[in-house]
Amino acid sequence: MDDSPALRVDGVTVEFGSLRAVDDVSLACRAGEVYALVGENGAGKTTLMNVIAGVVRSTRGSISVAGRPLPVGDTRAALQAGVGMVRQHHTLIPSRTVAENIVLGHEPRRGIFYDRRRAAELVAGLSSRFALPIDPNAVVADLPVGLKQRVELLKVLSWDVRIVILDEPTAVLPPDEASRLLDVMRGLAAEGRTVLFISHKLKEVVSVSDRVGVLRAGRLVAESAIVETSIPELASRMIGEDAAAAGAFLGVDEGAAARSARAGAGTPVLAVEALRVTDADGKQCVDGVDLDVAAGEITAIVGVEGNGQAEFMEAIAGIRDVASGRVSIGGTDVTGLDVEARRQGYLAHIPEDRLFNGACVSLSLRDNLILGFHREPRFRTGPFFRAEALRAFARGLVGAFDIRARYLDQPIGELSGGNIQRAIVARESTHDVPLVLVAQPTRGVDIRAMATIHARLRELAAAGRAVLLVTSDLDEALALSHRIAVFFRGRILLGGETREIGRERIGLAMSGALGT
Amino acid sequence: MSEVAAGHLAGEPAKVTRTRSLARIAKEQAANIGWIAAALLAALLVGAIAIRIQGIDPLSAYGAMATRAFGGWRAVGNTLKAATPLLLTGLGTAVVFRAGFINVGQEGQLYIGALVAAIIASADLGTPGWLQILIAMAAATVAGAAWAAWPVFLRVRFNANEIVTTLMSSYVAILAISWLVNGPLRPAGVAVGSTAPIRPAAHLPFVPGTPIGSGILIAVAAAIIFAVVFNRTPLGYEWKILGHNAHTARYAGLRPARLWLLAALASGGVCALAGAIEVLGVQFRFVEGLSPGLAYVGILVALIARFSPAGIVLVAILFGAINAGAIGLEMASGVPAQISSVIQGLMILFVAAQVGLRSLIGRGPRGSH
Repeated sequence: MDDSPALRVDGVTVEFGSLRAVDDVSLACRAGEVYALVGENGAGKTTLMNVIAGVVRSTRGSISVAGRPLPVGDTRAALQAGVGMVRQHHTLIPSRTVAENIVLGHEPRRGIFYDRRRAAELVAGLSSRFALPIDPNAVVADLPVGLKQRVELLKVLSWDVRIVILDEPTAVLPPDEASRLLDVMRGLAAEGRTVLFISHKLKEVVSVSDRVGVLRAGRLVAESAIVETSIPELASRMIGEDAAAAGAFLGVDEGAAARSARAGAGTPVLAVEALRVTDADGKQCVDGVDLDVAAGEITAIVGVEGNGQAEFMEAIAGIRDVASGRVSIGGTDVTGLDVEARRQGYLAHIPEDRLFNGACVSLSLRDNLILGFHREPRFRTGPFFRAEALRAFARGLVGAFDIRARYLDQPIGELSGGNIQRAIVARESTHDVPLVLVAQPTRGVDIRAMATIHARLRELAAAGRAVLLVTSDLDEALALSHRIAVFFRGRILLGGETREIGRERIGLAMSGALGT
Repeated sequence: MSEVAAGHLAGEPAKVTRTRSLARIAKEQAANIGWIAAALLAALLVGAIAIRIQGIDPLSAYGAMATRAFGGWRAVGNTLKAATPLLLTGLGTAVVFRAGFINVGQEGQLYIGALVAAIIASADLGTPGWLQILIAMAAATVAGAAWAAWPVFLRVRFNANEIVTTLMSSYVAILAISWLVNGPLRPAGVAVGSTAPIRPAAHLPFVPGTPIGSGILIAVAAAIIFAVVFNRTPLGYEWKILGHNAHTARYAGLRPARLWLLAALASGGVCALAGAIEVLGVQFRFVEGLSPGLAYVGILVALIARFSPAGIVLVAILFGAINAGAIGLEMASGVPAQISSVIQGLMILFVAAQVGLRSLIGRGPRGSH
């Protein structure tokens, strides 16, 4: 094998104002190698990848590909030099076809016109060459998230890149598609390409990569061949504490502990009967779902995204209208109540998209923490706020949930994703209500925040609340839940006690392969 | 990364966090005032070129302006008189914009208030003058509030864009009033479209012992009330949440329709009050063309002040001074009073440019991961 580095990163530093996001990082990757980059949120992983792909300009340092230096901050030059990146948030144009998206930027032409047919042929060729089947003429908006990601990957491969960068590629995928993607990554490496990828899932890092680098606070603090390290060691390097403490964060066999702590089947708090929800296009996205959640119990809804889980949660929260069916909480029919009435004494809600729904990013941490509590008499004197009481309340949440901010008036958008999520969990889990709705609580947050959030969800159940959890992370569902329901095309395809349902059956049900 | 290095909030004594945040607020306010001052300076510099082109020495011209705006009680009275409608319509803009309801119908609301006040203050109610003033202002406020309410209904019920409906509502109001004062309401023997003069007893009094109209006191009181509502009440907080992120508001169970309605009522009321004060304290009857777009300048005042009531008071007085000063300038040197529009327009331009400048100077892009 050729030992000259396919990619060399030399002393790269990135500063945003006074913040040093990447701090003097050097690394080298060979052709045919899968290199994983791990680290907590805000450790600088995505920024470093963005520098390599020419999206972000480095303050100092250089990148070279096969010995040739790369111009800084130029994505097109990077692509032409053979470096392409599949981003965490998709960059496709939803209203256009797969082929149009893939050839964008180097479209085949006939004279001055775009050659639609040749574009489709090119894409079909790429698709069969890399064994990534896709319909070139499908409209991107109609594709499930796994296929969208496949389009992103083909788009990068259409430039014949030698270095493929993937930013948390499996975060949105169900287990079978995730493992298929890992196979594709190995295949690309076997062809002599270099695959760099970012992941929070240490299990997949260990299973797919040849080498791994750990970033902490912008610095490359460890680098090792995968055979010479272990999951606990990687975790301890990421958070900078000893391996024993890191073990606790990994939550080995958390599920068993949670289940044994369960206080027996409580009385049903949430009762959903024959719920149907129609989306804006008139499509039936929730199609007759019955579900009970008992007090003291965590019920997890899993499934490939887009099978009605999100709409189901919104319907229970009152944000989305129901077409038919009934939602009762604590024996009261709340189907006709609006969000405000449901939040008054019935439910709290940790929403799926924290920046879109859960928080006002430009407002302060304090303003975000008091949302929903702001009308309570204890925070008012007559019609006026008791500013000190509100601050004390917010400060209490900050302490109890280990939210790291410089001051209470700091705009919440300046905090890291994990800290924003901690703030939302703090706020919502403090409401004195019988039911807590939780959607994708740890997506994109680091293991330290994940540990806080998981612990809090268990405490809520232990304190007798009913918790309804939607997650696309099967490990999270298995670790936390007492019961699991698998959504497929708006219905529950499989449901039951978590300890009795096998992972394989869940996987089958998620893909719709399991008959009811 | 900063979150690791920064002090841990929970572990610090409460006092430290508080002082720090106050220091930050003070710093931000100082920075805001600094930016507005910079915009004013830049506008005056460019305005000086325009004055110079007319062959007049800009320094002496600006000197004449300053004298006319601040030289003596009478000048101050003129400045504050010009500032009053800008302040009130600025507040009427801040309240709706904060709540994310882009009402631009302030001018029509002002006209309605002016007309209603003129009708009531010119009638013989058999009440003492002060009571008639209060009734006129209250009725004007209610009428303006009512007029501002229906675009909220159109927005909530039919999702009609409020920028269009409120702007149209302004034209409807102004043209309907024009018809009224040229037709049914015009007193016999008067050539221009107007109502009858208001009763002398219903003239808004001066602040005792000064040539300063009491309208400015009403306007400043309104600013204080708005500031308290914005910063110290659940309603102001909910307006802020709704204005910053409507999705969060919906998710948290806030009621946009109700919040927008309250904001629109407050906006319509306070803008109509501006019109009432123009009639009761300045014109003493409703005349067609009563306002040369005062409310639009009020919108600009609110934008420059970033919807802060204290800022609106300051900027309104500044703009009032420019307006009052420009009249003096025209009389002293022949530079048309429209120079005030030039300077105010340039200020807007420079304030708008600051958004870009701040992001260039202040800080680069935020770190992602």
